[in-house]
Amino acid sequence: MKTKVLAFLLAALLIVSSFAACGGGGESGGSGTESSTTESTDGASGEETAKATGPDDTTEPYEFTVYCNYDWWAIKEWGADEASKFMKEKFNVDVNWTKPDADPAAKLNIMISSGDLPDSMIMDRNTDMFKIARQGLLVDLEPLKYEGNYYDENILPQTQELLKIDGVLYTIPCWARTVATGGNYSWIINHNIWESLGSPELKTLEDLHQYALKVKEANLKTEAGEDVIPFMTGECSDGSKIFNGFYRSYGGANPQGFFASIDGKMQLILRDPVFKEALAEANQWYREGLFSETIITDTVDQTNEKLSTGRPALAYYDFSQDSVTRFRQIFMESTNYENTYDVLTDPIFPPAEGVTKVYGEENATVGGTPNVITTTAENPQRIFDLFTWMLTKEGSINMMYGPQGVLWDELDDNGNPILKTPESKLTSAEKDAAGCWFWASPAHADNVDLTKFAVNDALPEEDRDWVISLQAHVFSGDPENPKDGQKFISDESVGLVETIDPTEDLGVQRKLIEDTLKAQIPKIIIAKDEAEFEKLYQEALDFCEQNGIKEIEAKYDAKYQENCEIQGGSYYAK
Amino acid sequence: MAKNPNKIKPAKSVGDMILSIVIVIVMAVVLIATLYPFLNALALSLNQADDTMKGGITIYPRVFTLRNYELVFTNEKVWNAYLITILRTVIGTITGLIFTGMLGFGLSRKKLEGRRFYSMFCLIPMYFGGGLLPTYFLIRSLGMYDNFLVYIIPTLVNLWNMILMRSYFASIPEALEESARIDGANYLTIFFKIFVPISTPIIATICLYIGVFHWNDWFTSNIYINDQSLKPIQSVLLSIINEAQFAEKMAAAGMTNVDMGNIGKGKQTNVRSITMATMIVSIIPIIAVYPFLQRYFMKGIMVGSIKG
Repeated sequence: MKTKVLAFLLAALLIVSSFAACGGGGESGGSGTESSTTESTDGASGEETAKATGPDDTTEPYEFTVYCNYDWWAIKEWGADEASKFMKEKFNVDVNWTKPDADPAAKLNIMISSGDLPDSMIMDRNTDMFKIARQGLLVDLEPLKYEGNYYDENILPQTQELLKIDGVLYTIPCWARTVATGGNYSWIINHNIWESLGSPELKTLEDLHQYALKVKEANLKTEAGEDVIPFMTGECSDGSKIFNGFYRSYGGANPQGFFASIDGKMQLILRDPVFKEALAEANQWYREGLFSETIITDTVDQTNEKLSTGRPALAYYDFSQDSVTRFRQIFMESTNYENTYDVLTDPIFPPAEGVTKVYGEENATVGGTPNVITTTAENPQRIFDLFTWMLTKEGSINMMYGPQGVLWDELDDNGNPILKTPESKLTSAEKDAAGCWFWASPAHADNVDLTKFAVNDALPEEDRDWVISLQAHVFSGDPENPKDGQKFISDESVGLVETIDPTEDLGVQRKLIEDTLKAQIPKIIIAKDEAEFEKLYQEALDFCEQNGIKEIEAKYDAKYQENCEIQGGSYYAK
Repeated sequence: MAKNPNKIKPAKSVGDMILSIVIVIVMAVVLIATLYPFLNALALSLNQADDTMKGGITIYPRVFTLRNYELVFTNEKVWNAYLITILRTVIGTITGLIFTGMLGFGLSRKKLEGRRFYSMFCLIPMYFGGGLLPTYFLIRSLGMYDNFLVYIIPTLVNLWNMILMRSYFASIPEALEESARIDGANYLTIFFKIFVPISTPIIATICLYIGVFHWNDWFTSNIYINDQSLKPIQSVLLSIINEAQFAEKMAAAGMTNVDMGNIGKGKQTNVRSITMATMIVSIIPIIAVYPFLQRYFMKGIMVGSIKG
């Protein structure tokens, strides 16, 4: 009897405790959301919050968290190197950097749902950010801007307008710019192979075509006995690197995914007859055996392998990857520096026949991966002061080369640091200790690029960095001597993707179209004959028509026209 | 036992011999297919990074180096992470074994009042879970966010393991329990002093299950831990691998001369080398331990599944 009573009581306890656990969880979740709303009302409303009159007093130390919403983001201990130590002392701040180990979407959703946000975040400007802003979880930056603040000094007013969400400014952009500097994609040739075939002129796309045909006919081998590949690109499972290169040479606008500016409207790229021509030429190259057999299936590692062993005679590739993978350096070392890769510079992107204008890479002034301050932050002003200082020239120098007294002691007449040791001769340990090129969120593209170009140019020629030299003297837009193929500034394509919520029906259709085109376009490129090319192309177009492409185009174009109006017209209309 | 010379072995037919040959060939292929990726990973991890970039590495390193492992092990986070993982594996395994075993033992006693009810109560969560968000709120409200206990307390009882142990304990003759009760032993004494010593197969099996779970788990720390000093080895190694792509992604965004995060010695290594070295580092301990538990593992799965 006693046992039965005890058993009954235990059963009752189990049942009651399981319901009690449910009740406690719901309430804590609700209160978290409520407190965020209350704080946001105060933070988001400009009229209620007093405008800052100056930077925050740094007498008292302040500790805050920054969450980087990318699992591939690298984090370091704040203050462990000279660059972060300088910022720590200058602003008297301790920053705890965190990031997800994996599955950033799940972690962000939990943080948003629970109201458990960090003080600051670095994340893509996408529907998640819009959601957080519209829930009132982000701090309006306008009240934090005092007279002469660094934000207004470095970010153009029209850029700030583009950055606003529902008329409120929340983001400190990373890699914002006012000038078109830098450069990534280019045509690259294997120098010795090109010389061995008579150093043919490479002024047009047809010249490249003939050169690739000669390479194929010559049936060349590398020093290691491997077949030379007439043409290859970087990792290209969706065909984008191929069609980007060919479409550019045919005078096409810079694709925004599978959309582009066609006759002044943002449309599906498949609708452009020029795109079809470019793709047909790529298909012709493929049928002539000029592509690497595994061009569609190669991984990043396999692409790096081919480049490091000198297999491609011609490539359309991101030359800036050399800073990371050292593909060019490894190739040169393997040939005792008697062979190298050259980037085509004149013209930068050889035009197809009849094309009179080739566009370089399009850069928006808004940059990407912005920083935001959440309503959890107790002292948003201090956070704002630190992040906006990082946008300045002083902040950029500190980011690239560390503070004064480490890798440099003096500035030249233009305010650029004079390095004690050329950057190419610095060891990784020295760069790590100085914190070089690490604390770049946020950073300002103008201040970074123009400084690094000047520092690089001040070095003896043999010590200059190949990538930086190309970016400075070939690919960066030169307003005084503009050249086809150089980078240019335009905000016309900003914010297109955010016009459609990925969770709504049209968003689902968009994803379906993108996934289908990613699979279909490579098939079109490797079609075995013209009939199959036409059939597959039409199939792709028909699929898009049947799955809401017109509505997607309407939304994209509406935003596109709005952007063009703000900046006074489309760059492609000039 | 000496072989019986008079024992007649049945002659193998041609069909049997062909079958044996086919089985050997298939198993050899499976062996190679299973072993090759591991040997390739090991070779890549011991090969100089620049040379790895050129490709062509199979099952042995072309230019031997320990640099990749040096980079992994000179990362301070790695040693702290190993400590956290070892602690959680040891503590989690012991406590999980005790609590799961006690529950299994209790439910295996036929005389337990309400046994059916408790069994149902345990079975329901196996099919219906609260979901990620409710669990997150629960963990947070219990004060286990950014706390080492989040690795231990939520995993004290695993219902699947409990069912295995319950079946095993149920197969032990009741006479043992009865004679112990006659001698005055209570259930705690019976469990720890009689049942546990004779349940080596199932205990070793459950030890392995729980241990491997704790060793491999990264999800718990991804959601509930922000404090870097509490991250286990799988999370840190996942970060190292992901961070190795940081430089490539930043270079594509326009930055140059970016060394790879905290690894920071970018000029002598690359993504693939780091990935392989970290993978080997994370699986070696489990591979080293498994052979000692294998014989129990094979027995423990099936024991208790058949009564009598």
